[in-house]
Amino acid sequence: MVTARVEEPPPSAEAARVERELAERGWEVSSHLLWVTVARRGGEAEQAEGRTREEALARLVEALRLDEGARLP
Amino acid sequence: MAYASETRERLRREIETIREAGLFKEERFIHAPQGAEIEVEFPAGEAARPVINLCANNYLGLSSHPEVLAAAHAGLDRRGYGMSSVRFICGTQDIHRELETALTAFLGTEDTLLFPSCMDANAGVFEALFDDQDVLIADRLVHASIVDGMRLSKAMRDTYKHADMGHLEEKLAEHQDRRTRVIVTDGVFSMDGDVAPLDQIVALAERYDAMVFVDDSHSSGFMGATGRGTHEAKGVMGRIDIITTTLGKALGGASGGCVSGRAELVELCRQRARPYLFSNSVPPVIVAAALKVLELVGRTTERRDKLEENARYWRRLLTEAGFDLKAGESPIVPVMLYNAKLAQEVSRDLFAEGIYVVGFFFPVVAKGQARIRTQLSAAHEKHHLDRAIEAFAKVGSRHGVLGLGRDEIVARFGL
Repeated sequence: MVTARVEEPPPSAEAARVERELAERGWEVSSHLLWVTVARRGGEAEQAEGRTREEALARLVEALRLDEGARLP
Repeated sequence: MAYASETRERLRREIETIREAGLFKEERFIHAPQGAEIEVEFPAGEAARPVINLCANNYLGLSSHPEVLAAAHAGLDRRGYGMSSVRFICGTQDIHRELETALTAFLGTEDTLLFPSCMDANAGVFEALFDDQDVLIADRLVHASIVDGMRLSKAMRDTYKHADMGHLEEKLAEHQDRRTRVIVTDGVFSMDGDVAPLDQIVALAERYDAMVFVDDSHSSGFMGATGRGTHEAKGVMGRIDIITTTLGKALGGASGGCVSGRAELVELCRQRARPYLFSNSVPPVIVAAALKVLELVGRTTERRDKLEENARYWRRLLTEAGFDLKAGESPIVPVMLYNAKLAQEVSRDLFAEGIYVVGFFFPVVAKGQARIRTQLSAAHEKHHLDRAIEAFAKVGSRHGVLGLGRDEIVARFGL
């Protein structure tokens, strides 16, 4: 499958500073780009993320499947 | 009021939209303890009138059982009203431990942890146990609380078609690269009353190295020969990794739920599950009554046997009267009407005839699957069901649905 990948830019000075601060508090920080895909219908909305557009859409589809299932208490 | 009038207007419009969509939920005020016969004030302000209740989750008829009430009173006297604490600070009494031990023995697991409700158990369990290295593979019709719990977890979410073992197997094969695969299902599904094929699910889990999670809220207390739940009914006691269930249905009907299963999984929930950590203990009065419920359920199978017989009898009456039913073996018996307006009118007319049932239609159930969900109880006597079927036959005849299958109902009333 062909997937759209974008080269990630180097962190800005501000991003590097925040990452350093978090590291000092014991966090191992990694940042990466994600595809965010959103589905809206009337007042409903669902969102999913993925490293590729296809991955994000696949997760969105599964989330919607759970949302759309009929439900009774 | 702190918020601006535009905000108030927006919220009012949203309420109106719910009303226009036919989804506005109105409470009906019951002027009696829960039971087979109750008095209901509806619409609000009208005098309360006696009706036969066919829509409670009071499967074993224990909600108002005299021994359960006496145990609740005794619990109140001996251990007080509230704990004013979460469990791990100063909210655990001896009877909490006693109830968890009793539930563990009843469900045939290794350990149990109480939650304020099964909704809370489901909200907490996935986040506590799984992360982004794991995958949760859920039946597409699992309970709403499971959907919410899965959302709170960082684990990958996937689904399989309802009760479709071929599709589940495909998903298990697809996710072999994940650290843990978890199959997530209800034991009995609340909408159709159908039973998950747990025997096949466990076999697949063992073949593909997966865990099995079952929400047995609509089963605990009556499914299986001694009422242990769906795992007993399907011959897989001791082979389910995680069971969540409620004390709010068959097991007394008040509130409270639990996570039960492998000891280390339950311990992790005790350490991490946020609804356990950040909400108050189940009140002593409920704990004391639930202990009595488990004693009653363990003493005899009389009530679950009666429930099973009532469900069989009710299915037969409805079938003979000419209603179209969802096939099943649980005490949830959906009467299929397919058309939303028809379901609303039939339930309204049944209420006028003294039968309390609720019509469900899209989006609560799938489009074209409108129905009246009837639920049996061991508190029902034959005369209740005989009276109910008279009303069903009368209303069904008035609407011309008796003897009609899906296609004929759809042809006459549309979807």
